[in-house]
Amino acid sequence: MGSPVGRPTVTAMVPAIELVGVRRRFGDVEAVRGVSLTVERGEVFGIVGPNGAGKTTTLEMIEGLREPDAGEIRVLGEPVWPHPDRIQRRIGVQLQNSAFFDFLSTQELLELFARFYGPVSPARVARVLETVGLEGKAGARVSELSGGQQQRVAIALALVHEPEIVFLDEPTTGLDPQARRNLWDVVRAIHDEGRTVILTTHYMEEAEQLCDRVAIMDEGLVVALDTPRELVHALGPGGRVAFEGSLDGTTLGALAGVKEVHAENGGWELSTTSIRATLPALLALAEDGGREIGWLTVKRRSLEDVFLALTGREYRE
Amino acid sequence: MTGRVRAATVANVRMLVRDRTALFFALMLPILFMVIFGLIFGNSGNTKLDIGVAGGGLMAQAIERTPALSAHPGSAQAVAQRVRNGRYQGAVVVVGRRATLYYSNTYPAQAAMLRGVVQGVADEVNLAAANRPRVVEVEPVSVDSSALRYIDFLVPGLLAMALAQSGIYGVASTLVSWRERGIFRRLKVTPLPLPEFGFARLVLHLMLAMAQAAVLLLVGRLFFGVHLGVDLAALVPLVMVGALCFIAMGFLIGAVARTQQTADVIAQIVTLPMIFLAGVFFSIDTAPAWLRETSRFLPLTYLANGLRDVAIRGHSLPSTLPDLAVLGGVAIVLSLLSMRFFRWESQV
Repeated sequence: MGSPVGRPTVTAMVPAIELVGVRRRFGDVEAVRGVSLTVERGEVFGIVGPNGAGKTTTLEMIEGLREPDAGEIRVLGEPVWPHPDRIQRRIGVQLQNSAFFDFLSTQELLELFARFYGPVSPARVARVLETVGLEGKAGARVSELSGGQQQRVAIALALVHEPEIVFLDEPTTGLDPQARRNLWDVVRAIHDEGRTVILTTHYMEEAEQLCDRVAIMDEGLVVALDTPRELVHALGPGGRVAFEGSLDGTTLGALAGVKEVHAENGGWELSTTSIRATLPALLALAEDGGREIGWLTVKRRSLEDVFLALTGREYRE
Repeated sequence: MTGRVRAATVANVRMLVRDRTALFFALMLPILFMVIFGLIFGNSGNTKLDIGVAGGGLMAQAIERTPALSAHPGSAQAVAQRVRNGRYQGAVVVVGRRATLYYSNTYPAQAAMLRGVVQGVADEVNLAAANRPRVVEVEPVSVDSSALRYIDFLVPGLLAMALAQSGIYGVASTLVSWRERGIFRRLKVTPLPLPEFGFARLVLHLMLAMAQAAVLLLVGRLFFGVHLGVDLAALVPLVMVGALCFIAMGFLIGAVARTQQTADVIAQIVTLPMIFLAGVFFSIDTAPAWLRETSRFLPLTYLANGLRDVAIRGHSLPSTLPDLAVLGGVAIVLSLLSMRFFRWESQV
């Protein structure tokens, strides 16, 4: 279907995106305080973090919408600043709050944007509609589409000129769980076409599901950068044990391996460095006290635990 | 025009023709006014105006010969009294070289017309006296003013109003709404330079202005028999420059307003009083002096007067040059001001 874009050129070995010491201030607030990172060709790269972490500002500086105060940004080997228009033909951008011209159909909108880049190929427009799963909505006015469908139109507009890098800023924010999962499939389809995808999200789970590598941002800095798997592994062994049972919190805290105890949803959640040590101890405690355990699950660790470990703060979406 | 500017223009045309609200204000509202006012006052002026004449001389004779007027001789006191009690629409009292016109403001439209007609008659008499030795043989008949009805006065005024509204609202509201919603930001990450998009939008507005002129004048001609002596070489520049003037006004409002609501309110505050003070519906010739003075500062006055001269009085390009100069000058000043304040993006 989609033609791969990994063209065999001399720049093939150049990373998709390179940032070195990038800073940006808004008035008294330094939104981005020295970010350095490299995005390789063909990967899905995620920037995650809470609201206000500097994700969108970082993305906008790479896209050429905001000039950094300091630092260097290269896209496909070319410096973005001071002439962002040079790289804008090779990137496709979906902005956070997508808005469209009124009174145009999906197809007309795509053809208009395609025309900004050169002659319009109807076949390509049709293919892009298919990639985002809107082939049945070509004639529909964008204003009549659902939130999830509009978000897919925004992504289609970013794809219509076959860009090498696609920027998605919070693509699933505000969507219901089903629409969000559908959008994940769209991101995977773009990745399968060989394009580099860089996306921001404040859903840690989404980053784990979609991204080859993740940069965790907090207060304008990248606090960690690796594959989701490695980030979680770096926390060391352990996990979370959640269960329901009338046991005493202090006693639970004294169990082997337990670091933290939380009362959660009428049950308990233990954060442990060793599931192997904690689980038998917990079961023995219940046995000795003659207490029943209503239910028990062992949760694998997630990027939220990574965030907690790195910042000392609970992650809130 | 490059391909992408053409594409942007076509897209903008599509957006406009599907935007029923914009089309309503651009075309339907003026037509609606034409129908309503046309039905109420349309034929006033078609019947002869009754005018009392006191005194004699060239002026009195000229009035008697004017087809639009039905002259009734009488003493100065008697004819003035009949104007007061509504028997006559006006009275001319000639004493020596001085002709005083008495009229009633009960019917402003008629009064305005009467002023125009009598003034026209006086002009003809003076002109004749100045240029030709045999004054008596001059026939002081003004073709224009004899046929001038209220609807003839109204239609060019409504065209001026339509151009002003479409320019001011269309530009201000759209500009702010697109900026607020981040549409310009989105365009900024494409290779299309934003000024090219602005140019496409300008082309659209000028096309709309020409369409408004064509539709409103044709509707006036076909349904209300408006006398059209249109010289296209005079009409087209006037419509274009007039439209540019109000596009620039909308641009300035769009540049200073931060939200669409603010833009709409400012547009309203600017447009509505201007429509009335510039004499779109009724001539303000008979209004108090301060009001007439105010109207001289409104660009719409010049557009409405210019359009009347061209559309119903058959004036040609040279006689519209003063109006064109005012409208063009205002357009330039407003554009420069706008550029000083204009931003493509909302401030963070």
